[in-house]
Amino acid sequence: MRHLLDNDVFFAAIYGKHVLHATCRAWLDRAKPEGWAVAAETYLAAVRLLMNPLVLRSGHLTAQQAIEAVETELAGRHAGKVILAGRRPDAAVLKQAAGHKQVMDFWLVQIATEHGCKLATNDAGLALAWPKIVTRIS
Amino acid sequence: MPTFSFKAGPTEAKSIRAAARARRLSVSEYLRRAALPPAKHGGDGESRLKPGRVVIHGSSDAPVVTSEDVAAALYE
Repeated sequence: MRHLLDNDVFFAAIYGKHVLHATCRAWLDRAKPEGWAVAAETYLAAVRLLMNPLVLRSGHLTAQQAIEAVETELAGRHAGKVILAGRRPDAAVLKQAAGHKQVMDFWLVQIATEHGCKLATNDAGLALAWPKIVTRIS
Repeated sequence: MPTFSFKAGPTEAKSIRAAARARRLSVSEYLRRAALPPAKHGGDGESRLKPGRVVIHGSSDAPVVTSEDVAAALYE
């Protein structure tokens, strides 16, 4: 497995009204044969976003529909894995977070490191902070 | 983010609060869901759910979202 997707890349790939949809969709389609996964946290983030009426407005999904959408994306010829963290959060990694929004990103960096894969993100700052572990998509 | 306020009678208010509480939702979330019921797979745009390749096109009233919008929806 080579790629771990962060919340934004995974959601952008499956939601057509994300401004980076075309870029992330094309990247994921190319990357899948190399092996890919999402953390359980990213799976749940996608479900939450797809159900959120502030994001999808009148098109927001029910829990069942959102789970079906995520599971369908994970299925197919080059199926994706859902990774559960093997260890508790590493303070040495998390304490480098500059603000609350970075905590989840840094947690995903830890998971990617544990599994020997690269974290795919649209976040330029994250890619700059962890150049050996993070791949910037857009 | 726009804020809505509206008048409700005491009995209506009690019913709304009770219904929200029963679903473990805030009153705001309960009213949003009541006003904007979920559409089949992502709204009026034709969505595609093919194993390994899902695209939810979104409804016509849904705005284009950025990475910042996604972060705000998840973390704020």
